[in-house]
Amino acid sequence: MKASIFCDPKKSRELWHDLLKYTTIFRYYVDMVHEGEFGGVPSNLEEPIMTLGAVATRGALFTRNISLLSKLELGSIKIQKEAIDIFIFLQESLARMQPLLAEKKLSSRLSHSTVFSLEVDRRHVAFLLDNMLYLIIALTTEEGEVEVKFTKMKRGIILEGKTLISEVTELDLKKMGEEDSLWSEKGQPNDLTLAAYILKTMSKKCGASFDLKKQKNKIIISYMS
Amino acid sequence: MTKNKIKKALYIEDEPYYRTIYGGELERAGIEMTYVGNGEEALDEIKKNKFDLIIADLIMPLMSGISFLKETQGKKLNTIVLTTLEGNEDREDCKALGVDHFLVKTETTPKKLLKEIEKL
Repeated sequence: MKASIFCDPKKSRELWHDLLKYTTIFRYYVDMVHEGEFGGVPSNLEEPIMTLGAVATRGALFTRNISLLSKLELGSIKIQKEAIDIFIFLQESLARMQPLLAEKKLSSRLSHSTVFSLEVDRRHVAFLLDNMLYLIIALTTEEGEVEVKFTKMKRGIILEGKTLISEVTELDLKKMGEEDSLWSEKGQPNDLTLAAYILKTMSKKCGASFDLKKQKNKIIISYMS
Repeated sequence: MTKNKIKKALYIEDEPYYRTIYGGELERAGIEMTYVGNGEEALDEIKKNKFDLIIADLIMPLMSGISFLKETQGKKLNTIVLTTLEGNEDREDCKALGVDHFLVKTETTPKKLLKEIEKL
């Protein structure tokens, strides 16, 4: 029987390259329209363009996550931990996730006392931060607030959603990130649980811990290296 | 206008949409851009013209970015690799060929690319 091309790291790499190419182009073109690079946006198109921006951001993240999942399954992920100044990475990640924050009318706050470095893999730090932000945005109610904090003592990042959406239970949070939660009961892939799975697996590979907790009606996501 | 000394750049990119996305941002910042679609065309171009900066994609037809970097290794060209490839291996290959500036497109908005260029 012929082996799947997805099992061949070189072929798989080129397939993912092209898929990532189209999702990235789509995302940046929507950004350019939104920022008025092709002229002003009529007011009746502002909302649809904002929705397109959010969909493009989710699509791009989901595609990157499946690409990473494929590499994890092929065993072709190479981890190189090093001390990274995390502040700029966080600012960039917040900027990338802006369309999702805007769609839910969420305010965001990046609080820090001192800039410090975190022991992570340089190539995967943006993956980790984007997924953490995506999770906290998805789990926070509309018009809520998201706060990103550093904990220098424990060398980690804490993301706090001030108001957890009511349908999500403690058990749902506990299951997130487990391999068997990747598929819904109807057998559909779920981008939220995939993000949690990627976070849990990559944290483990980096010798770090990832945690999702409910505290009263708050949602807290932490990554400790 | 850009805040630094980069006035002329060569962008090696086979995908026209990326030329519009990234090249357009740099043009608006006042950088004179020249575009070619693969490493072979880039080798011809650098024989004819002098550039302050070369921005190179990696996966391209005829001659890839890596082959171009091998051909120009040691020529001290100011080069940024801008690719969709996300693996540590690709970054290491470029570093071994003397390229320290390795940017991944999925994380690099046009504005971030401009910021990186202003730091050079």
